[in-house]
Amino acid sequence: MKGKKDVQQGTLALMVLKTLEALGPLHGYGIARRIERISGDLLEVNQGTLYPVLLRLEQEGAVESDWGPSENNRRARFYRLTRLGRKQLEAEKREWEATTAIIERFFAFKAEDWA
Amino acid sequence: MRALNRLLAKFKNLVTGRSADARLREEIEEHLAMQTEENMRAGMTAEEARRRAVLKLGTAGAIREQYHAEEVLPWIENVGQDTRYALRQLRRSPGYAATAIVTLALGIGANTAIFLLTWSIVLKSLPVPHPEQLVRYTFRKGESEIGLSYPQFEAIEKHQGTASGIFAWEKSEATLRRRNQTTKIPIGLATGAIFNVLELRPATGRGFEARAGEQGVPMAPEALLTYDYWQSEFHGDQAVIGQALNLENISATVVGVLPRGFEGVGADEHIDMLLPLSFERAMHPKGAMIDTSGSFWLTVMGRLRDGATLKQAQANIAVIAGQVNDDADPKHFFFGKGFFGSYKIGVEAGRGGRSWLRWKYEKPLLALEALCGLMMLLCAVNVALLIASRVSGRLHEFAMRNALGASRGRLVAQVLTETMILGACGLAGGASLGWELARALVGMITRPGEPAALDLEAGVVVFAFTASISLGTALAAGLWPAWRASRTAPAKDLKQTSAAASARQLGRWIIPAQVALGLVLLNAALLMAGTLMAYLRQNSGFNADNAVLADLDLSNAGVTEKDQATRALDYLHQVESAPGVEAAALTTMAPLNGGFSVGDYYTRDSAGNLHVNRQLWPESASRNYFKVMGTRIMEGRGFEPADASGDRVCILSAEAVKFFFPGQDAIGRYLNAGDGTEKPSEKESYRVIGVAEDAHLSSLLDAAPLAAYFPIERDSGSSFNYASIVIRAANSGLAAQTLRGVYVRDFPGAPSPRTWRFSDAIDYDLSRQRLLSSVSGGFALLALTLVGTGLYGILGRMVTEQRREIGIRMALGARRGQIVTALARSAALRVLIGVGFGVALAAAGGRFVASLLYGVTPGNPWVVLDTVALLVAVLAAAFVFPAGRAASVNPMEAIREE
Repeated sequence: MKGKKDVQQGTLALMVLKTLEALGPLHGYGIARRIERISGDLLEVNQGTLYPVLLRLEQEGAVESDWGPSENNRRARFYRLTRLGRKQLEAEKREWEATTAIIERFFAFKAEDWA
Repeated sequence: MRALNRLLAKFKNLVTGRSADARLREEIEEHLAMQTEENMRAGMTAEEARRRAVLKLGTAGAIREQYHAEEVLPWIENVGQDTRYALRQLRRSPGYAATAIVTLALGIGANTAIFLLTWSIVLKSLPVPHPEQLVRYTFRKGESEIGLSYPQFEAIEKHQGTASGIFAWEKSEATLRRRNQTTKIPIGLATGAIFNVLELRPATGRGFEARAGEQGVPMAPEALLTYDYWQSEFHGDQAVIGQALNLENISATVVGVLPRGFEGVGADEHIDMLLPLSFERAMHPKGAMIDTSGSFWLTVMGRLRDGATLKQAQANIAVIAGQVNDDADPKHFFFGKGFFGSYKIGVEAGRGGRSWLRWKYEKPLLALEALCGLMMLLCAVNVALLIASRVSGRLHEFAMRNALGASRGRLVAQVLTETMILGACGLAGGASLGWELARALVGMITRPGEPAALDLEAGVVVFAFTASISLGTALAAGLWPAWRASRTAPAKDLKQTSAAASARQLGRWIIPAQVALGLVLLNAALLMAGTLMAYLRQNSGFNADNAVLADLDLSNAGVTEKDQATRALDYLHQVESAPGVEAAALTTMAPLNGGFSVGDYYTRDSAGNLHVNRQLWPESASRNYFKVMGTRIMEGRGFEPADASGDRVCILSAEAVKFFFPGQDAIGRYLNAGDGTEKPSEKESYRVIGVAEDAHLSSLLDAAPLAAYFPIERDSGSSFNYASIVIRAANSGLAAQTLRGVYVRDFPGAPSPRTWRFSDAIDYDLSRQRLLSSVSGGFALLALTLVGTGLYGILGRMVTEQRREIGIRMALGARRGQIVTALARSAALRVLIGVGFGVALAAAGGRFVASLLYGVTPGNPWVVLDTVALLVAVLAAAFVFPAGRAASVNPMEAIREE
């Protein structure tokens, strides 16, 4: 576990939305793998927690889901971003960027600047 | 938006009961399969690949729970679960549930009933905009209040400076002839300003002109219907506007309909029509009250100017009072040294209008509200006791659930849910019980033979009150036991099957609380009952419980005034000769019927001294009056047929004899009408032929007035507009039937007269005392039951819990007597504490009810002693059974148990 970070639920939702935006419809396992892959395996998603997050997003109307054939021709549930989800992603992205920008400025701050 | 979407989705799931559990299971299975395959591709064995996949996914149970939490609203689901569980638990112990529900329902019922009355009579405002700005002008002496005269109203209107307008009002009755039917309908008479002052906007049509109905303004016979009357009699037909109605043989034009809900200026008023005040002159062409300065009949109300306060209005009226008196009674015939000299005009808040019911019942109702509060508290304590013993019986279960991971909050919620269900059942039972009780109480305060004095309405306020006290009480009763349940220590409670300390712990505060509350309620009941008994025990001067009375109003019977006496006497003879009638009599003023009569009379003794009395009660009665009413003739004789002509005679009451003929024999002497300043003419002198015992003619609550009885047959000129007939018959049903039957035959077309039993008149006369004593008596009975069963319950549980201890003590040589003594001592101490608090509380409360009492005083040691003795007797009875059980513990069995 060392060197790996836990993911908070809100952040996880954002990652899910971004993944779906970039890659199109995916099943739960696919989403989990992508998130791990993109984070360079630095982030280990407790994979099970993904499903409540997906359900929540679906209830919010950000994603839709349906059964479809998986790579090895089995039944899997595929999740797809909706228009509402896209808007939500945009909004959250802006919010995230604003937050990180502020935090960055705080870290760039030196004691002398107070003078 | 997002949150709303989610909530809707969750709610849908909750309602449809749909769960995506199967879907999740399939998804997880698929997930694991894919991960396993990938792991195998990385070179793991199938078994290892699967194991790693499962590990990576996390605990399936936790995921599913989290998933489920997302799916629905967990707390609603919990409430649902708790409710189902609680219902199941309650069904399993119906005795417990029934006891708790009945206790709550009785308390809630009593509270609802009294609050319904208090709300309708004391608290409710007139249904007009900004009732808080209304003021009412009063004319009173201490507690007793009469109306204002028309000249007083005029003078106040002229001089006052704080109200934007004032109007005069009187409720009356008028005979309506419509479609060949004659009915008496309640009407309101008012000056035109009523529309501005009360801001009444007619539902349709128009109101009166601003100065309509006033003196000096020609009377326009216009009428407005109340909304209800318009709906019920005219089916809400617009065409009624402009119609002419025959009222008192005057043609009145309907000009509008009053706003919905407005039916008079008092809670007890329900008029059908509003007419101009000066219509009164048309109704009583001779001696119209509006034209005299000695008739005190009007309700006068106004609306304060913007910014003016009641205080300013009161200061204003104090300043102008003298001017008003001078204007209204320039010769100071009534004021100053006159009969109404000690009455003062004043002004008070007019929010609720003028209500005779409020005047009479405000204090009793507030006292009963206080008792209701105590009653509810006692119910809450008893229910708390019930719940607590139940919780402690189930501590094992709670401990088990706690050990299995139930949170404290969930345990508290569980107990409270159960309590709230009891509260809700109590509410349902109590509300309907309260409604019935309130109706019975309204019957008690209704004049016999008349429609209900009050229309009860179960409005939002009453419902909110009842609901909040029910759930509040249930919550209060459940809070402590719930807390106790949440404090289970699994390690300890799982081992023990019962909490040994809890009954004793409970008793420490519950017994004193119950005893104190019970004592206060019992004391109040004894005081109220004592008051009622004191009134009933006094010698009323009547012995006529079976007599039946009827109004004999010939003004609308199509009889000319000069025929009235003959026709009335003829009616009397017909009634007297009807089968089953023992005796009957006419009288001008039926006793205990709300009216009163005064006149000036004097005598001059042999030394030439004048004895003048301005408050003698002249009563004209026919020959058999004394026989029917059971008023004894103590000296001389009663009326005889010969008294109908010849010498004018009278019978004096005993007190009147003492006043007019001190120390002398009155028989054969003369009583004179007038105040002695004019020369006594023959016509105004009456030879005293008998002395009657003193009778409480106006009310059992007042002292018996000095009275003089005159033969009604002699006084052929007297008006029979408002006479009464009293009869004594084999039974009261037959009597009433005869009175009505003969009346209908004698006066065809006239409305059937109101009849009532004299015993009902007595009940009604004492309705305030009866209301107080019956309600507080009911409370006391309930309180004794609750205190008794409460103590019984606690002691019983103490004995059960201490069986082992008792057994050991017996094994060590304690005798049965000692065991019982020990139990008695611990109970007696608590009872004593309760008695102490109760006596103090009763003494403090007694001062507030002192003005409602008669013949007893709140601090009377005998009453306190009676109260304590009665309470202790009940407690002793409750002690016997548990004590017997304690004494019969078999030491060997008790010790071996466990």
